[in-house]
Amino acid sequence: MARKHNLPLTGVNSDGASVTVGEVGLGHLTQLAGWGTFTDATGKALQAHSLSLPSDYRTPARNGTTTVWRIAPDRVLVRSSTPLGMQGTDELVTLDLSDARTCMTVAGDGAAGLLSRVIALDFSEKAFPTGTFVQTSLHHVGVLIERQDRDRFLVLLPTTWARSLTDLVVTHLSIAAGHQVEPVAGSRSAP
Amino acid sequence: MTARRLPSGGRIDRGRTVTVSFDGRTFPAHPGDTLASALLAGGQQIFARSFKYHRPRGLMAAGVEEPNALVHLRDGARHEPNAQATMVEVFDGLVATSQNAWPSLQFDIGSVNGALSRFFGAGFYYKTFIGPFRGTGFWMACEKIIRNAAGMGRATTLDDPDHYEKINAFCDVLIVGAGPAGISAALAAGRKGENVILVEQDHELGGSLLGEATGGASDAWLGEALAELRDLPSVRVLSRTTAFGAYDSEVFGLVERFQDHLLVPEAGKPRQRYWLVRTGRAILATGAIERPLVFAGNDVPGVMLASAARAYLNRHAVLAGERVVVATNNDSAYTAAVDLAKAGAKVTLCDLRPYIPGDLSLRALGAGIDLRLGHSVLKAEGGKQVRGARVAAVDANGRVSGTASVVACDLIVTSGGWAPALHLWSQRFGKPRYDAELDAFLPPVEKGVFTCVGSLVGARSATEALDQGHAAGGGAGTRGNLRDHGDFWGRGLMPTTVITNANGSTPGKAFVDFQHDVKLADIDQAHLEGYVSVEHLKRYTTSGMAADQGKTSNLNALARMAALRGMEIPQIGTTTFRPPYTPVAIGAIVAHDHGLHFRPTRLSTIHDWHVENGAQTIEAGAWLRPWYYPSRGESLRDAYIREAAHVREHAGIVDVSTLGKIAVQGPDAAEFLNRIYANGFKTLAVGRLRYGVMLREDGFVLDDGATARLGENDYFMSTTTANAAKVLAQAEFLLQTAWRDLKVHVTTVTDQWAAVAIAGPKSRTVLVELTGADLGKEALPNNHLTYVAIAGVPCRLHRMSYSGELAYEIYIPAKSGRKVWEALVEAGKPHDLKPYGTEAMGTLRIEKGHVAGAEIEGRTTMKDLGLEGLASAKKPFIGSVLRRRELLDDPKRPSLIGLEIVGDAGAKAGSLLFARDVPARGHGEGWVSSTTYSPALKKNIALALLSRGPERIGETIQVVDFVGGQTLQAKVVSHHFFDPEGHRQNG
Repeated sequence: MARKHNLPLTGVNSDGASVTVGEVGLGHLTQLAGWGTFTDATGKALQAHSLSLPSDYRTPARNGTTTVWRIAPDRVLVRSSTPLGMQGTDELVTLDLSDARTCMTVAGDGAAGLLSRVIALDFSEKAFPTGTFVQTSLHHVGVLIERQDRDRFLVLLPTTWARSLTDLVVTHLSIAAGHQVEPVAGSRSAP
Repeated sequence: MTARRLPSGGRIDRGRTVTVSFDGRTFPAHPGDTLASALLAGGQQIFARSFKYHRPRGLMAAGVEEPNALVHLRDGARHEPNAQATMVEVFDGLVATSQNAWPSLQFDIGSVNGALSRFFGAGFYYKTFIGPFRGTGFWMACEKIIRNAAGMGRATTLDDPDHYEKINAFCDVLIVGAGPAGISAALAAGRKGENVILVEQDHELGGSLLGEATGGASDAWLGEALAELRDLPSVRVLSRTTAFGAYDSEVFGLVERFQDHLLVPEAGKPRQRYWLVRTGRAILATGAIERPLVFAGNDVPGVMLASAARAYLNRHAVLAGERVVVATNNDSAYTAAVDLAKAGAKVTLCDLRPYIPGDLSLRALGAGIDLRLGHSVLKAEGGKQVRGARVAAVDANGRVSGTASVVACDLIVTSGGWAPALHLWSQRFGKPRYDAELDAFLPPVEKGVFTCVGSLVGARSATEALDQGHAAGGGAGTRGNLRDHGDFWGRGLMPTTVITNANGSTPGKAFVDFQHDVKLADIDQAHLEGYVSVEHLKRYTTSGMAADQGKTSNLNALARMAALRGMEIPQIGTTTFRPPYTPVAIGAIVAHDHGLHFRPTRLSTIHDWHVENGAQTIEAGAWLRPWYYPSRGESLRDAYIREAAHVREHAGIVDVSTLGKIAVQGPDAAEFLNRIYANGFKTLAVGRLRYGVMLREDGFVLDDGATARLGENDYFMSTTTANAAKVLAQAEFLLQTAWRDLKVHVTTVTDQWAAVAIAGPKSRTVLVELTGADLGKEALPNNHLTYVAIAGVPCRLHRMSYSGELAYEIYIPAKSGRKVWEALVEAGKPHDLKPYGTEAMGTLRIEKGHVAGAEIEGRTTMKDLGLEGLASAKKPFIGSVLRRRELLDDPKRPSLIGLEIVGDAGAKAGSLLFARDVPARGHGEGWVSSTTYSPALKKNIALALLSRGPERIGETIQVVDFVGGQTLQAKVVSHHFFDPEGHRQNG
């Protein structure tokens, strides 16, 4: 079983660079999905919130605290501080996923280096510029990562995997003595 | 060998002295020393005993190619076997011990094997383990003794106290090897701003330049080059790092010995780091490895490669011998001979070649060297150390053509040419090309995005190596200059490496592969026995199969094979190079992916409550679930029986968040469900839910579960925990391929919803009191849903039952899972609501006769499971055609039944079923799938699949557990053990 950490916590990676792993509230997360008319239908729906449909799968669209990530040709995720209040139609279906993801933050000089230890991605600023996002896997679990600043990343983790994945990330840090973690309970493999 | 540390010179820090120990003896050393150089300076001659014959072995090389000096490093949990002494940096407190020797390195009882060598020749393994006794018992017993006598070091069984790390890296250019060519390439690429990773296995950059005398022109060039490299922001230098594997798509595996040069890793730091590098292009500057000559006694301590003797001299200030015989077939050994002579050694140089260029002879004679052309060493005299060299005139085939004489010496250095270190190139591209002039296999300079430079492609001088590197790096800036020795090994090389008597025999054991004790005679024997393929030769003799992967042996073995077959080396070919180039610790590859993180763990948002309240947990796929909640030290059996009985009598609550949950949305969602499920879904009304079964295309059952209609175009499908991902993938696959006409989206919502089941006769009361909702039989019949608020959290309440009891499933926004659970537990206290775990849940479903993963295991059909009545005959669905195959309609197929076990012992899942009066042999007529003690029935029961099962209700059969040696009697009954009419769940 993965260990439970009291976030935020700060440590250094093996290169000696400082990293703080934390957690922030997700707010509301809504999936919009459609079919052949997706571009028009979603564009109109987003326009009502002064948002546009991103044209690619790396660059989000934003309006204030609302962010739109295009995660597939016919799907977007919208993160917002309040519910979007959109209703599904025959051309567009909406799905509340606010409880399906948690938000881990990884920040500090060593943030990119730390993530490169757990994710097979190029975290250089050239390949992953500030303000862009990627969908990838962390320990075989699908995650969405947004680079918010040169040294700050937001990682959307599936809720039920979050503790294990957070622990894996933290395991790559040297943490000062005194950090509290929950003891590991024993378990058995299914007979 | 009377090696000694010279009073000056070397690339060691004489200002600091550290102490290392070997077999309990301490040696002074200086930073910059390797374990090998420190021991050599201290007079150590024997470093190890050989693999098979336990022959005393000394140092042959000074680097990664060393086949002999394998030692145990450190002790306790950090104990490490098979470390190459030549690659171990010294540090204060370094403890090393010899391996493969008993009772001591000096006197090893295993050396008796040498006298029995005729029995341990080529193919020993394949010839020996036959007869004289019947059966394998005798040789199985011998195997333990043989394994103890042979082999390498001993690994520890203690847990590794250190940790390892994996890093993904990306670059424009990966340069492997930081000799002059590699450094030149890095400078050129770095100046252009390319993102460069420069990898060097040594702790110091410079490659062959480190073997030059200190203070020379090469040091000046190296100093300037390294200073510039450090200032280039786009160049990352990884020293102490070996590129061990080259893979498709320009992926390289590197292992960085990050903290191995320290007694204990610094706090929190990984011992080693495994780099997975993806590069745009690669420049290989991996150099070349000197070939030894093959002659009798060429493994006696004191026989060393010329490049090694020079490296010990110039890099570590260790003169390896006072009276030296140099045996060579090429120019490169002359530089070593001259350096040794200048350091004070008396040198005799035997060159196989009858004629050499004048500049060479002048250099040798000018250094006071006794130069003997057309001569070589026929035999190294001595047992535990070299006492002399039997020297003789030889012909072009390496056969003695004159009278041999013994030259007294304590060191023999040899050079049989060089073998480019093309392992990485060959791992990626396969067979290299043979260059007859250089008597070596070479890679092409360019192939794909790979460029090979320097000695790897036979650069003739330092200048040429610099040129090649500079060009490969992109040519930016100036190239720089290095002084050329004029000792290129390929100039006039004589491709003879085996020295024998006139009749072709050797006056003693002559080794080709030192690490696996493969003799020249073994190659000859394999040839006599008809081996013609090099791959077969390798496996039969084990040449090149040791941890060093034949770095010093492969070419000599091939050359011998070619000579014996009267063929050219290109016709013989090479063996296949495979990763790793050098041994890699498993820990480095595993890194953090072990223990807690062997794989990620999935936890319900209610998990902490279960742990805090004493639940024992169990792994269920990736999930960790509450198994049972022991009360006052209860056993599992006592706990689950109590919990299951409590549900039947009162009420229980169980966390079922692990169920797969899929949102099915879109105007064609009903049609989609109708196609994917075997039963009909088009008529399912909003607010209702229905149990469904889905099949694979081959007609076998894939999964089951309930799907609820939440809105006109909005469905909520649940799957089993185990098959959630499989069902989602199947649905997505169909929608993106066969059913592109359907406007449907499927999305996993397993993480969105926590789920709790409340079951038992008091469950309705608990929920009514808590929610205030009308949950009466008429208001919310079975298979209906409604919406409620619990603790202020909006939840969805499904009335459905897995246990056969009056039961409800509550779907809760996941992040409020624990809050709602605690509210339920609190509200249930007056009604004795108790949590129960997966074990009791299993008991309840077996009593009810519900199938689960043990029955839906990929080999069962709907008919087998008694679900045939659900299959719609009015519509096609996935699996509807192939499930009608004749074979699947066979009435003899095992079908689901219940078993009441006779007696007190329960049956084991997997037990086989036999008719009562037949011998229990073979696979039987069926098997037990699930088993439990039923508190409701007060007996042991089981679900099973039995041939013609439903026809055999009432029959008594045998239940045989061959593994556990248990045979029980059981009565065949309906699998609906409990409340078959469904009064409870529908009440």
